Amino acid sequence: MKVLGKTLVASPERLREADDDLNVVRRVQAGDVAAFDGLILKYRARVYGIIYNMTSNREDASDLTQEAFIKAFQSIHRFQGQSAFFTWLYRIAINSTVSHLRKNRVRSFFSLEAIDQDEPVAREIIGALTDRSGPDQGTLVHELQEKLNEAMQKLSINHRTVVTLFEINGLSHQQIAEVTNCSVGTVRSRLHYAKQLLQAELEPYMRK
Amino acid sequence: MTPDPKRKVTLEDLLRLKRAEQPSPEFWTRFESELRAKQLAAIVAKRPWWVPYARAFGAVARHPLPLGAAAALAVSFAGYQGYVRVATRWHAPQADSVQLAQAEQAEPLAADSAEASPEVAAPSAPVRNSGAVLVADRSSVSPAAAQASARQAPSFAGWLDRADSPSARSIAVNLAAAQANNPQILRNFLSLSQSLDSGLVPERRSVSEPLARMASPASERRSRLLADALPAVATSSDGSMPSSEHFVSQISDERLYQSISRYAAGDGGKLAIKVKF
Repeated sequence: MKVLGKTLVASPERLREADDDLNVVRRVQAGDVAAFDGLILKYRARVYGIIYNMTSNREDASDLTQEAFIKAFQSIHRFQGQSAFFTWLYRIAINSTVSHLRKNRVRSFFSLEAIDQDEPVAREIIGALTDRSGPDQGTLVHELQEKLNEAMQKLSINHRTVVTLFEINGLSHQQIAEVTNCSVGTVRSRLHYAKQLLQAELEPYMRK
Repeated sequence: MTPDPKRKVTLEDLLRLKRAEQPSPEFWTRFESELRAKQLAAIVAKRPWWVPYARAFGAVARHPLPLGAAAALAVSFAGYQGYVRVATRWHAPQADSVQLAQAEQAEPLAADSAEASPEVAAPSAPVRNSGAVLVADRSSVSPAAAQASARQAPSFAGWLDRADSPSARSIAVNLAAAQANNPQILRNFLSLSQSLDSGLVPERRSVSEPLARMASPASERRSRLLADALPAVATSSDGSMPSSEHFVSQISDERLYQSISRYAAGDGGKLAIKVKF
């Protein structure tokens, strides 16, 4: 495989993971239904993270995650291994989410998860922001979380999907292109445009 | 890890904060139980009847070009097969005519000697069966009719030679066979066809142009004047033209005007016209 950039191709860990997933999928296809539980345990947090960051609503994200796994289970006999299982699963989840968002375009309200402040990167960023602005840390985190989700919801569905997959879920451009069924150039373009919009929205919270 | 107060906070850092928005472990317990219930419901629930059709249509819609090409190929192949079948059926009467001709040749042989070969006897069997019925009638045929039919025999042979299409050829062969077997039936048939030609077909009327049937203004004027002057002649209904009308039709309008010098109603409603020629 020709390496074009750091974010363009899948990492070796992802490739190994894809092989492991394919073995499990073959077992499920052969009739070992219980093997699908392993795939649920492995991917439920990631799928939930994608849907949650696209909807900014934990109840909707929970329902859509369950729906995505049920759809994947029902149609697993049609999975032929031409792409990685997680690509296929993410595509199901994103399609369900997009259709849900289009149906409920008018009705949208936040129902946010709490930020885990024990997580090292989160603690570092929150510490840097608290030192600059000076107010109570909890209030700042709550305010920042709301502003972040507001800025995300101002993006279009396609831009939000790309930002979620790249910045939050850590997928490569190539993988995002496979999941969203568009070209790598389109993914880059959407990512660039979405970052510009987010930058304008979150300017007060950035430290230069 | 202690936070660095001089650390830059970028957009990517802010977005990374969203990774930390994680649900609690209790959420996953509830999630798993709900998922199990939904999974069971999905397994037990009966699928709508149209789901397989929708899937099949989706599979078809995914490859429109190859399937379209294959359908066009199948249609053209089926059409070609149909054409070949029809062409074979058209040629079949020719083979039948050959068999009939062979049967005609074989019939006298079979009648003369009972030692006919099976190859010849087998195809001539249906002809002999029909011939057996016809032979009974052959005795009742008069010698004159037989001679008449014998005179017509070369004409059918000529049809057979001149027949271009397979159907004409088969008709000619059948007529020849019928003529050989029973000339009386054929004679009746031919007389019937002649009577059909002459009697049953309605006689064609000569078609005249509608403009030709329209009267010219001059003739209308002439008839109007004559209707006033000669009512009995104008209302004549018989087909033969009276001599006075014939005479009037010969003269021109101007001369007619000049010729009628005076007319007046006389006594008793009689009309008196004085015409000078």
